[in-house]
Amino acid sequence: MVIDLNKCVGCGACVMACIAENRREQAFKAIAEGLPALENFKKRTYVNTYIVGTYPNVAVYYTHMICQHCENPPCVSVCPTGASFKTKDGIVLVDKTKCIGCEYCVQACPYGARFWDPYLRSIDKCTFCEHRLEKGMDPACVTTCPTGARLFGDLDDPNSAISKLVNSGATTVFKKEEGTKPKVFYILPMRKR
Amino acid sequence: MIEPQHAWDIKIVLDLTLGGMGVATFIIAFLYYLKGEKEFNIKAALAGIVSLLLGLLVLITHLGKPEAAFYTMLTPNLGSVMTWGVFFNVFALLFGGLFALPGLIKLPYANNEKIMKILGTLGSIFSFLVMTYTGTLLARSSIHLWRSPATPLLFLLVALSSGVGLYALVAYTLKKDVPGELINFSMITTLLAFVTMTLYFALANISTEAFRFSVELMLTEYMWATLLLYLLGFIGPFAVYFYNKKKPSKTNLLILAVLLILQSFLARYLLVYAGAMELPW
Amino acid sequence: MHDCPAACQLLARVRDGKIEKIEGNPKGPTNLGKICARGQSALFRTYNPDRLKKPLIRNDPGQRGSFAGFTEASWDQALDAVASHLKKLISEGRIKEVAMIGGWAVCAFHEPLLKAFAETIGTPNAIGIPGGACYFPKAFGWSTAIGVGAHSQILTDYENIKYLVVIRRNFFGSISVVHGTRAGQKIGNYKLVVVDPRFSETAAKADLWLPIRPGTDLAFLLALINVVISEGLYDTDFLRKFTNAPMLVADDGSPLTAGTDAAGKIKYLVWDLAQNKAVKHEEAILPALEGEFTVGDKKAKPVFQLLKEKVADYTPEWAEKITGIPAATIKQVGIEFGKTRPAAVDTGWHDPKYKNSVMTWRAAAILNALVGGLIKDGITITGVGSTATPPSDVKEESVMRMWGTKQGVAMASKGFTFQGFLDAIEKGDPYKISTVFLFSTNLVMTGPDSTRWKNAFKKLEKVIALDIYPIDTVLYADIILPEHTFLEKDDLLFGMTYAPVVGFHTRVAAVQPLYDTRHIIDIVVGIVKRLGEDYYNKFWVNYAKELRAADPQAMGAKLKDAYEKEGVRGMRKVQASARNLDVAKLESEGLIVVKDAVTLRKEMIQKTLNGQLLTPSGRIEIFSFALNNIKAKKGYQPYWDPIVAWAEPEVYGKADGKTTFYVVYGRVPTMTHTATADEPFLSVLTPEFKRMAWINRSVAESLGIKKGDKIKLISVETGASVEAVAFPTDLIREDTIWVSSDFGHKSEALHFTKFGVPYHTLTGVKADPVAGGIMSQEVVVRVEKA
Repeated sequence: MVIDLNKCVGCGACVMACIAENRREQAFKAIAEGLPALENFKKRTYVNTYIVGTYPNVAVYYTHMICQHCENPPCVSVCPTGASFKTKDGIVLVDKTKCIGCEYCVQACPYGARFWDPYLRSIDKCTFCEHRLEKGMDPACVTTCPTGARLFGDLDDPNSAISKLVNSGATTVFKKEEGTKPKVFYILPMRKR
Repeated sequence: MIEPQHAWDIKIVLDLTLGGMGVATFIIAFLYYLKGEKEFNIKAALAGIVSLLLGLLVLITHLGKPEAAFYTMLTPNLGSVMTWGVFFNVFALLFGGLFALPGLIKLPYANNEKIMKILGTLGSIFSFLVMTYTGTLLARSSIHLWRSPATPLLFLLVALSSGVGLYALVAYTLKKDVPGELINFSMITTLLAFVTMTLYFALANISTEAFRFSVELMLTEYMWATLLLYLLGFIGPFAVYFYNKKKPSKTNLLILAVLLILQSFLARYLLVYAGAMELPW
Repeated sequence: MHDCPAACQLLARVRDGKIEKIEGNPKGPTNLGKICARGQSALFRTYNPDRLKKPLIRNDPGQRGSFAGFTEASWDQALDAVASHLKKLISEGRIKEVAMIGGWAVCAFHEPLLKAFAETIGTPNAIGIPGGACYFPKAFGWSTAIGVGAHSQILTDYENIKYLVVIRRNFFGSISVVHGTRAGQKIGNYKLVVVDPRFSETAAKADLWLPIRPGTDLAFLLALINVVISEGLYDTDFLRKFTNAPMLVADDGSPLTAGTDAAGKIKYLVWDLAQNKAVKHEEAILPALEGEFTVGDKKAKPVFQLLKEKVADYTPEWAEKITGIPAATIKQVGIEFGKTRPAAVDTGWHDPKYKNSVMTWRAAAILNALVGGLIKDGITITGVGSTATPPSDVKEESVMRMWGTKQGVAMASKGFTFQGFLDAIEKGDPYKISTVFLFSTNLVMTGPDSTRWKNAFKKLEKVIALDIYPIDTVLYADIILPEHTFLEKDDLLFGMTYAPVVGFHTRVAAVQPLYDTRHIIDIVVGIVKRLGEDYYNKFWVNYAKELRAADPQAMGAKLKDAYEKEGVRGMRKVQASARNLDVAKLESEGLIVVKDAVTLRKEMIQKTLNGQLLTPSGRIEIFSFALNNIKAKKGYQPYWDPIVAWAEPEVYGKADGKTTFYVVYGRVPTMTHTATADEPFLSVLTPEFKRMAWINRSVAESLGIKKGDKIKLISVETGASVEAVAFPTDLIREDTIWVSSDFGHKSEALHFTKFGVPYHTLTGVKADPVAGGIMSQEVVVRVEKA
């Protein structure tokens, strides 16, 4: 995935799309429980807003948390039961049946991407909407983003739009020093003058 | 953004404390068993195993899905320290338990020296592994405070301190004397634990932001625990030790034992609760 | 299609009778397959436990304002109660005491129903509030130049624009997807200049943020016009061919007209430099833009010459004093704007904010015209804009029109001045209003001087509310008639608004209604039927008339027939066949496009060249005949200068930035006005600081205010005070405070709302002298710690 922080306007469509697509049953339960449960509702992806500068020289930018589907995922290596695993396509998933809820993976992930879902009784996180990929659709967040800030594609295909973008040097990754080899690339925001 | 960790709380702290204390007591008990004092030390070993078991029960209640715990042995991921830890705990319980059970009920092999030695040795080996894997487990995470060789070392040291503590408590209860060398040993572990703990503070300002944040938590929100740790956990034992040299009494040793156990609990409490992550969002 | 004025085209995925997911319809020309957080959250709207589930009746007006005291009723009971009240009023000759007031849901989709209902029972008092509370002043400003101007009728050409000036708008913050996706996909392709006292979400993407003094955007635009003209950067070809810039105007200000044509368009004279004489515009080869000419016994100048003379004083230095923007910056923007093609000032959307709002948008239109940024590129006319007719007049005896006329509002005949209902309810001026129908409106939160509305509602004889949620306003009703959410109903045929195509779309029910709710049309028909056979028949003819049928009698009969057989779906079939649309395709795909964007644009260009726009002259009017008429009736005021002029906002100079502050309000991306405050996830996904009152950081420091402090904003004019949580920030001018107008709900029956500032507690009842807008931002406050 590539997330272009220049295009992101912080509207939160991606956050809501993910909840509606992937955590609908949990969402209904949280609604039934009321506002406190909704305030604590964990998210597979979220957007943070940062304000910098002194009036009138100010800027606002956004960061996107999402599972980075690392090539070298620390969550997979620490999971005691193998519930956390990586598919051959490079998507990191959680096998609900084997998850014991020890939350070691939560402590191991440098991106804070994983969380315990008390409704599912398993660790949960972004799955790159694998069920949509199977049908030839993009992840829900990518499909809905009005400004086209999120892009998705096949990094193994050098001719895909996403490969070209990554290979052009326009993107960067976070926490490179951890050696996780994340597969979510960011185009950092640039202030134009 | 810095996020204090929320996943692991008091139950983890209790498991760490009870587990580390239990296995350390077992090792101490087995070593003295080999020296000849059999009956008492089997009981001490039992206390250790009970502590270990208690800790594990608390741990299982912490799990989000305890009924799936058997998967750790059914489909183990050998790359995970936690997997190894499960096996260490299980075997420590197994061998250590078999060794110590004669302290509770009559068992046929209890008088067989060879079998008892084997059980005790195996129990001790796995007990030692239990003492050390926990720190390693914490170190292999994204919590910068834990990510240090100091953490497994600290855990080992306070485990040993608390092991002496529990051993002394059993001795007090069964009206036995605690060997002086053991008390001296606990002063060494306490001193080393004090040094190791202080290193966290000493190295904070040249460490990462998350590490600094954790240390700051220890000095603000968890200041009470830090103060208690240093006063009761480090200085306290020495004070009692020297006081006891002047005016020996069994009560002093009781207090010392409790302080040593508190040392382990508070050190682990601080480390777990102050842990924080640096997220790039 | 979502229940939001942005009217995106949606698809709903349903499994086992439950809605699973909402997606954008990839075939939809409005939102191009994208939807925002509100669209994604929409499925939860249908399943929200707070929804109204059954009709409710309460016979104790003393409990109005709370949700207590209601008993559930059957539809028969509820509709009987409404009908019997109406029958009583009819028999007592008091039917004109009924007012029907609609919110945006009605304004966007069902205004014809509202008006047909009112017409049928015999009251002239029916109007949607968005005219006066939202779009009409801006729309009218644009329409004085290009004939249309409502947000659905004009669209900035984001795909091709290279320089965009945005005033008084936040399209990345309010994120109506039709605009947000077009402007967003092209971020980086155009230079973006955002003029806003607050650093909005759109300012966050700008190349240049100009923190302008509130209410003075007009001065900024006038200075840009000055720069473009004085630097010679204007498009003479465009002005000559597309606009009435060459029209000759005599010394006394009267244009040299030459009768009207068959279509009723005013013909006028220009000076043809080629033939060296005055001829009709269409006969000229090279119409003069500047100079002074003698025609008969009159001395006359082309409109452009007058414009040039008029803006000569509106220098960047002059504008700096008024707006606070440095003169050098204004000049730089003006030159860049003039040198870049295509360049445009954005269409804007919501602006009833100031006394000078109408003139502000007229200035925007004129600036666009100078650089050729109208119709052909820059600002284009949408599908519904191309088929639009001017808003119709309301009856002279309607309260809205009578109040507007009394206030001296030039466009009072359009009836948008719903503010007038207050005097009618409170003191029977011009006559008593005793019964109010509320159609999906949150009037006690969105009407000016909300406390006054709350008290007024307590005085009414009967209040009937149609809605889906027990929102603040619904709590003032005696009879609550619950509606379907948009996912539970089939609906009529609607024109595709905002999109640069001509097309139609509709709603096809995704699921069966969950509760005992009804379609708004079924509710109204149910009431009308109970009034009697002739009312029922009259209703269908009126409805056909409001739906702009060529032959209302015939169409009315068809609609009635179809409704009796198949309900709303049947009506839609009749509408579709009347337009020769494939009904099967419409029902399976939800939309049909009949004219694509390229064709539409070509057509509109041709229409303008042929003088066939909706303006009185049919061309882009740099001299507005409509405003000239107003001047003739009311005398001269800069607020309706036929060309363009500086006109002050009411609050000009009234805030000192130390103890008194301008207040501005805006949107947040997770909310649609006040309508989504109870959406569970949207509520918690809204960052808390967007619910707070933004106050400049250094000002807050000097007042000893910290983040999270409770403060009171007290209107200097009315003394009304409102509580807010302070958010000291660098994102706003020192003399200005910003709040979101989306929050502040008090209804105890809404369980997912959070804190906010009920903005309209601070506003007073006003009307701008041209369009009758509520002047919603003419507010200055003092700040106190609470």
